[in-house]
Amino acid sequence: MYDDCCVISLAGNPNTGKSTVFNALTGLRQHTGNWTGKTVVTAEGKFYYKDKCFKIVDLPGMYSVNPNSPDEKAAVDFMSSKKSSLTVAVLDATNLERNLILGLQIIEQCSNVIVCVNLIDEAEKKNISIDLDMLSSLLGVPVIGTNARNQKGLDKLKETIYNCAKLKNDEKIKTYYGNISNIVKKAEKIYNMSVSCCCSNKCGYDRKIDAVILSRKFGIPIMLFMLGIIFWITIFGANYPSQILSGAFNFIEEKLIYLFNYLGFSENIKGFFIYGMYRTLSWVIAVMLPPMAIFFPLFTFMEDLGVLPRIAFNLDCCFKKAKAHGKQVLCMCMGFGCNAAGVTACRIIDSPRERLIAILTNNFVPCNGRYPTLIALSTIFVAGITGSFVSIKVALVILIAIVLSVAITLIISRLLAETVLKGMPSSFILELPPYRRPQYGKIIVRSFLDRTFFVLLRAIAVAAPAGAIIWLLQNVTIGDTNIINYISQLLEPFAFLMGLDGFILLAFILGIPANEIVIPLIIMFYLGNGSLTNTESVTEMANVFFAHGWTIKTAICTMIFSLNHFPCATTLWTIFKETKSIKWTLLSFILPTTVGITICIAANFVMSLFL
Amino acid sequence: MSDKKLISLDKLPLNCTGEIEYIKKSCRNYRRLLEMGFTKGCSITPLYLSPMGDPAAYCIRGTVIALRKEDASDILIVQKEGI
Repeated sequence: MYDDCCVISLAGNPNTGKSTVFNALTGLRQHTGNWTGKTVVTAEGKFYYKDKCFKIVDLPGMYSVNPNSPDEKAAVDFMSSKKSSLTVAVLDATNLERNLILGLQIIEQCSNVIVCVNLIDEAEKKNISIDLDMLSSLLGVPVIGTNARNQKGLDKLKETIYNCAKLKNDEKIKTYYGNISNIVKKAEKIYNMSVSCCCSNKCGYDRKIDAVILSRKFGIPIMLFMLGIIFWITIFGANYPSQILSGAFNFIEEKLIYLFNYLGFSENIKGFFIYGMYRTLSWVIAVMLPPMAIFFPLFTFMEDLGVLPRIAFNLDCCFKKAKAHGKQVLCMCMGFGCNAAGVTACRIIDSPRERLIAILTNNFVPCNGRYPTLIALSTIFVAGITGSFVSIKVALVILIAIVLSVAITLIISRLLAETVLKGMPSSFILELPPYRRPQYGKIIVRSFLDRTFFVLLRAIAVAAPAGAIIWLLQNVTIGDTNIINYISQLLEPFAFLMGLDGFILLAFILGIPANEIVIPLIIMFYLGNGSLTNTESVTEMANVFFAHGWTIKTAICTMIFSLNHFPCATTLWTIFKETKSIKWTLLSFILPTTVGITICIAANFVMSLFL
Repeated sequence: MSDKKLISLDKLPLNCTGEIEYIKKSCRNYRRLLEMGFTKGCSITPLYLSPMGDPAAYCIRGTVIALRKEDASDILIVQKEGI
């Protein structure tokens, strides 16, 4: 069916509104972000014009046809291959001079090109007027001015695509401009001949905002404050929807039990499917969904606004010292939501070496799945359930955990850069794009579909089978005891050394499908009832812990191990897909685990001396 | 022409405009800088220094681009008179 379609590539610098053009053409609302390298996966969409079908491929943003990153390579390969019969080069009208450099390269590389000058309204506001006919005659290709955000010029673009797609291969003209210096000179010349600009100060408002956000005094405090607010909204805002969800799941569970009883299934079948699979699955969804549904839209909001590259700018110095890339901080921010999403986000880093560092260390920042563990334990053991200022103390513990995790990330990055991943530090050439007004409706829809839904689906795929296995381990008995007890006894001596006990360590191991189920697993093992149990209150949970000999030492070691241990199954799978190497996936497993075990043993030893 | 003095980009004070004279060929990112529009004769203005002093953000050809010190020191410029 696709064979009938004419394939069109959409190429251009980052931040030129390529994705907006794509959305406007196809109606498939692909998310548009305001930072370099948003389109990490090429999006495809179809549209019909007159009698023809067009398949349009949105390529990652690039600065040149000489690929510097995997992102760019994919884009250039596709664009110049036979698969693509027409290339639409999207150029930013507000910054045409720089954009023309790529534009000329695309015209040189691909034979059938249409230039689309986007954001033409924004340019008008800045008093930039562009002579499109002049530009077209200078470039030798059709030039269309558009403002994709409000559909301006799109019909003309479609008409031009329709006409150009009819050209046969032999009708195409090849152009050569020579080396890069000549291309830049040519771009300058074309720019001067076709664009007149009466206002020299092109970035007025942005500069005023940047003067504060990037300043020495306020830069870092503002950033910390913003991140703090986001975490606070995510963690505490997620409580209510979580409760509602788990209530709903309980209700369904009751009905399911009723149904199974009615159909006359045996206790074992009921246990396996309902207490094993269903309960684990519903637990993971109830705990995982609300924070993600809150965190990702907030994150996307910052992304659209254009704040993220500025965070990288402010913090690059720390990462330079760790011999890593400033953009790693963006992957880490994403990792606070979900490490799997964080690992995917590492694609924005150009150099393969620094990208690997970012991928391997991403798991050191705690994701949403680990906050419940940190919150529950710090509430019980650090703040004291009945004490005063509980939420402030808990927030403080979380803050310490985050600072610690960032410090460990930097240390490990440095360690990797000096050992297995030696090499020259690559470039840090980062564009700080103009601030743009986010498109609110789109944020909610897209970030939910793009990220939340994606992560959730993967989690569900592992949670249900894992639930079944856990139920089997708990309910299959050899002799008098079940398999869980056997394994935990085996782990006991080692766990003791780390300040934990066999059950806790086993819970972490069985919690590999999702970090969310670690605490419920521990409670399930302690209570010895064959399924995950909803502990109604923190007090109840605290009683279980105290009854099994937990002290503040146990709590601290558990929290440390929760921060530093092997990535969850989803993240491991993502790492494998990103690196395409078992070696690196294995290292990403071993590295945090070793760090976690070492710190736990050390912390246990030190605390034994004082407590 | 007499007082034409070459300095490296990282030595240019904030909000002073310079004109790019040349980029050292030894610069690791020589090509990439060219592609981003860092060419001879182009005006460039340092706008902000990040909180820890490095990198710095420069306005060039209407966009703001951040460079680390090592890269900026490979770009030689002539400071323009006045503002």
